[in-house]
Amino acid sequence: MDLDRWIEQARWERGAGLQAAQQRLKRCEPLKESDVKQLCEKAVEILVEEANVQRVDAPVTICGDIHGQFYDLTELFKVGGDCPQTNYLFMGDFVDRGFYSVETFLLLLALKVRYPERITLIRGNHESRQITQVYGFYDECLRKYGSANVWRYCTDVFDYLSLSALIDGTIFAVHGGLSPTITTLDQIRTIDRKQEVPHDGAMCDLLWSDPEDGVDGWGLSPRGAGYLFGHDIATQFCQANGVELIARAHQLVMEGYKWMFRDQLVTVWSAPNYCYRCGNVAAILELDDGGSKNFKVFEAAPQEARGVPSKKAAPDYFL
Amino acid sequence: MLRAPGLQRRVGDDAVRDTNDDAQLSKLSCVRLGYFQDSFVHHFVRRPSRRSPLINRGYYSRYAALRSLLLQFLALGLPGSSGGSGKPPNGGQEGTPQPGSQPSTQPPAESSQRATEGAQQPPQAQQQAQQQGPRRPRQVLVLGAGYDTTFFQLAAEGVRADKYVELDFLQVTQKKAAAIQQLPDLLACLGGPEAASSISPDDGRILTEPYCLLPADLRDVSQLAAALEAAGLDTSAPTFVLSECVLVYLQPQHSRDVVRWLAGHLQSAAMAVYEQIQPHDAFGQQMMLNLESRGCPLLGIGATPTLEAQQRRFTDCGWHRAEAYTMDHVYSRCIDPADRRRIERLEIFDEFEEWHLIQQHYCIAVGIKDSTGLFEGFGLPQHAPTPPGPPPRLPPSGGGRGMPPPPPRFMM
Amino acid sequence: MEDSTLAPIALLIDSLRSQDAAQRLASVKKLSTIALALGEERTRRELIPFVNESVDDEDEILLALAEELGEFVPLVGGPQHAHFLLPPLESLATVDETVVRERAVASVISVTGHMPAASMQEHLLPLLQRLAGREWPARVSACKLFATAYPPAPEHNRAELRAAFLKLCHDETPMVRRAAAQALAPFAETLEPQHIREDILPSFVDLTQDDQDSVRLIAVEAAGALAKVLSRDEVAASVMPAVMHCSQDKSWRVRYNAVQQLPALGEALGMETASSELLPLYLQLLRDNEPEVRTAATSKLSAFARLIPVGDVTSQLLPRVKEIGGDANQLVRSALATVVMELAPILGKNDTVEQLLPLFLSLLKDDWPDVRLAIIGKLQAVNQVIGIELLAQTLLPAVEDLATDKHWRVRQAIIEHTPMLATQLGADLFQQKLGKQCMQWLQDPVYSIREAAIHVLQAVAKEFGPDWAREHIVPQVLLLVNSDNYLHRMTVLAAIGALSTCVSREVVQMSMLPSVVACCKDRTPNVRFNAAKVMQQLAAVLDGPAIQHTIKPCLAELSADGDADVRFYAAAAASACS
Repeated sequence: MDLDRWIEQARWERGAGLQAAQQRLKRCEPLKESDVKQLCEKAVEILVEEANVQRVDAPVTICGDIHGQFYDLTELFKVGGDCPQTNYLFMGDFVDRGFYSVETFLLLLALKVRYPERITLIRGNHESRQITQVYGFYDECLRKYGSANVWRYCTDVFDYLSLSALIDGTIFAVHGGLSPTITTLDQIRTIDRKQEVPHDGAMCDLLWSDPEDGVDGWGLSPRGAGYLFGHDIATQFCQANGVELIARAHQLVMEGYKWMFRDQLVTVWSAPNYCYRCGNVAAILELDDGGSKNFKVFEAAPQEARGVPSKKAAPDYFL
Repeated sequence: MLRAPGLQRRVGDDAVRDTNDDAQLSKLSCVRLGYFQDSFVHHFVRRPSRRSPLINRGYYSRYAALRSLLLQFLALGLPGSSGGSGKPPNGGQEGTPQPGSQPSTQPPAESSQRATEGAQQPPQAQQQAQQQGPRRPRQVLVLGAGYDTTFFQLAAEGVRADKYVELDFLQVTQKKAAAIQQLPDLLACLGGPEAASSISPDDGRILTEPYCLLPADLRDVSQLAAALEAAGLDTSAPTFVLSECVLVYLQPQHSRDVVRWLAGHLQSAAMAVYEQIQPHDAFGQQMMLNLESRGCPLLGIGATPTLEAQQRRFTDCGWHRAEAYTMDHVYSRCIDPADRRRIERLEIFDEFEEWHLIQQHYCIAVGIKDSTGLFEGFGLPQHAPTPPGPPPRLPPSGGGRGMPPPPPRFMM
Repeated sequence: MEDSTLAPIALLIDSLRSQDAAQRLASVKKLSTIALALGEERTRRELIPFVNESVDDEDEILLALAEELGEFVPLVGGPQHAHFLLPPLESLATVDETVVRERAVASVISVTGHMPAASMQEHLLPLLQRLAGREWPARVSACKLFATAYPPAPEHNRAELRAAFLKLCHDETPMVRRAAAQALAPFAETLEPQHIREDILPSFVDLTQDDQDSVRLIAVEAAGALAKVLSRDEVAASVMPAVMHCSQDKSWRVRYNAVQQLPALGEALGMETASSELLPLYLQLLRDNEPEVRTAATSKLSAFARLIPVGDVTSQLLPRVKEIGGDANQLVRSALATVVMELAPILGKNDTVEQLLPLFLSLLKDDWPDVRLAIIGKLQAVNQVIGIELLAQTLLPAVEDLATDKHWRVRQAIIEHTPMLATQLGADLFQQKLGKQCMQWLQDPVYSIREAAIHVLQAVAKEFGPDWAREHIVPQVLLLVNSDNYLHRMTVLAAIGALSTCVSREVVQMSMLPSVVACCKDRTPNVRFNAAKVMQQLAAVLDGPAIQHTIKPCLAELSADGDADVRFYAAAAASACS
């Protein structure tokens, strides 16, 4: 498999004749099944070496949920710069909900395999066998490949994705949030992460929890997994671990990013017009090597860059 | 920003009618997953498919709230159902009928007979009704009913209105009439095979006692008037009018004409409107764009963009009082908490922000015209906020109760 | 299973009967492979009849089947056997689902395209007659086949076909009348003039007065095509009144389609009638209540203006055009922005400057980015008419505003037109008005804008020559290499690479090379590997000593860098240099 060629091809498709790309994506064999298998095996070789708290150096651009919105990921790269020029940290939820989870995840994975130092992928709660069967990735694989093999290759990769990242020792990045069973980063480092996301426990909480303004300590999460945590918890965690900022994704924020807990925590959301329905803008957080933080806010890719939406592509409402 | 112009509007009226197919598909998705029961909706869906948990929960919340209002109406005047406490007909803890625990399992034909004899009411209720004078017939009028199967489901559960009238575009009522004519289980709810003779699919009409289906274009109130006359609706009898995602597709003057006409002609009535609101924020703007590109622009939403405007449409048009709540409120406060807990265990749910957003953009508004005091206290029940209790945990791998079997062959 | 050649068909039948729709779909998509394995004769005798019995499945599968069969002619033994494919396609052309039906009809047309005339007469005509006599979905399909079936049909069959078509035009089901309305123009193109006049024209008029708006709106779309094949008098007597009638229709969608027919109609009628009959109608539609209709009308502005005397354009059309500039609906204004400059050649310079330019300027400042984008795309056209001086005076302030628009795609649109502006403005004026802006684009927060700015600098440098570039571009670009942000330092590197072919070797060696050498020691690996890439570009324009003494040592050092990507690009550059 010629990875560079495929990455180039994917780029060409999003740059130029998107109608042709749309046609291709509809027939959807962006990669042959055998190529997906190889790519996933390669990715596992790299990911297995990464730590549960993966060390990342600034400069890096931090991104939140993508959720299969391939054309909006394209837009993200147009605004933030292409990989490997720009370093990226994606905080999970690459798949489900959008129409192009396969293309989205495989493109990110191909970049990871080709430029392991330039891009970091950590696991979101949707990188799970169970969730992807409800929220679309499984169905999409079946629809596009006629079998569940590609889904299986990809979900096997999910098990190897790191759980969090620590940027320059001071910014802790995680998909969801904190866990009552975790007070130090070392406790995260000891988790055996190579498994399906469990229904409770530290690993589950990191991927599922949410910060909540009104909460003191820990609260029950309406999601049925993870916890709500308050300002005090975030402060304790930061102090205990020498962390200045917790960056996380997981929750839709209409303005693309949201500060909480006196700038001790930030939510970054990178899926514009989420589910083609929410009307929100997206953001990425650029940490440059001069020490400044810049949010880049962007909108959904314009319609003409998406090709003609099929009838089925209409987002659902209660009619 | 920079979106393609919305000029490819699909054929307007057709597209609005298509929303009906979409609604039935979603209801069937709910039924199959166990959100609520409906033994008939599958007849009106060509190719069932599973909807996302958010859509299922949204349809459930709409179903649960509107069904409880309907049952509350049918029980008006019965003891313990003054509505002041907002309790549904059976009172006490029962709430909306739980799927699987219907009040009656009688076959439809028999219960229809019982209903006409008035035997459905408990003896004391009958007594009390007699003390208050002869009980007026209870009528239900559904605007833009589409392929809704509520009448048939209630009939199967042994619950009857004295008259149940459904209106929609001719193209819809033609298809619905033709379908009902060919389906024995639906015919049974109308009194059996002989009811087939009361059905004329070409005219899109069914005229039976108590169920009537008639074509009417609501943009012309004279058609509404003619249809109700043909159905034999008694304008002096208590009537419950239901309008689910119907008025909002009409130009504001047309929907006001309908609301005003009903207030002017029905002496004692409640009307429930379920539809979109809040078109101006980011979510609302996207909703407008998306529905417009589906060919069904929300022509009326500009005139009723808020809860207050929804209430004012009623009170300005001759209704005595009105209330309106967002569906976000309805779901958390107006639905039987026990049933809500039940359905929250049916599927994994991970779309909370979007859930609150979309539910804040739908509302139920209820207008009351109460000439006799019958409707005192009628309205959506308001339960206490749910005390923090354990939320449902993620179901064990492979899904919880009600989830379809996991995909074959490769489960861990 | 004794006969091994039976295996594929057995397998197909198995998976075609599978419970799993995805499996059935997959096997339908492999139909041609199976046919190939079976050979032509067994495909005709066994496979096609089998398929013919399976046309009762989910729509997605039927759609795939209809598509497959359209490509099957070689697999059943070529043109003389193509008719074997018609029975299953005929069945597919009768199903409820529109996309399946349409696909089946398209396949019938492509299959019959291979058939000899005699075979077409023998098979297609009866098929068409059968479809026309069945339930409405079949009749809809029938409508689409007339244009194919008519030309090869012998005289006596032709009369039958015309009669059958007329019947469908007056079918009781609106869906069929819609399909017939859609078929009017294609069918007319195959008919003899006399029959267009006697058969098609009256049906066209009837359909444009149908009681269903969905029929009327399709029927009126045939007007333009009919106007082309009929005589002027016939158009004036029949087509024009029908279109005029539709232009007043109570359904906006009918008016929307009607207004789009006016230019073709005007062309057939000639200037006098266009001016006296169509212009009042057109003016009215430009003011329609529905924004969609106004948009459609506006988009036909220049097409229509060409058909009427210039005097009428200035006295009647222009005042209305100015109104549209202030329309409340942005889609209408967008449509205007797209076509307004096409009026310039019709009006000539004076009227353009006096009448159109103010409108143009106000659209450039429109609140809605789509409108601004549409008008930017026409800058060149304006310039051609009004000349550079006026452009500089009037448009440049607006261009400067847009250059800092908050929507990056608007900024991008302006950037894309900057080389053209440079050509028009000349070096001095460009430097004065836009020089600074180019440098700002180079530091834009959005990557695509920085990238586009590099291309602009390169184009401008080529336009104004190496000396100008040395003086006005290179120093400013090199200053930015000290940015705190690695993304901006990399932009400078990319700009150096792009400009290295536009300046003298001396400038490259004396000014650019030292900056790149500095970047090879940057703290951020991304900058270092980009420096390596640029070194390779510089090596292409520098001479031996510079390569030997500066570039190669740098690359050698980078080849031992701690970062894998730096090593990779340095090694690639080093091998390219030697």
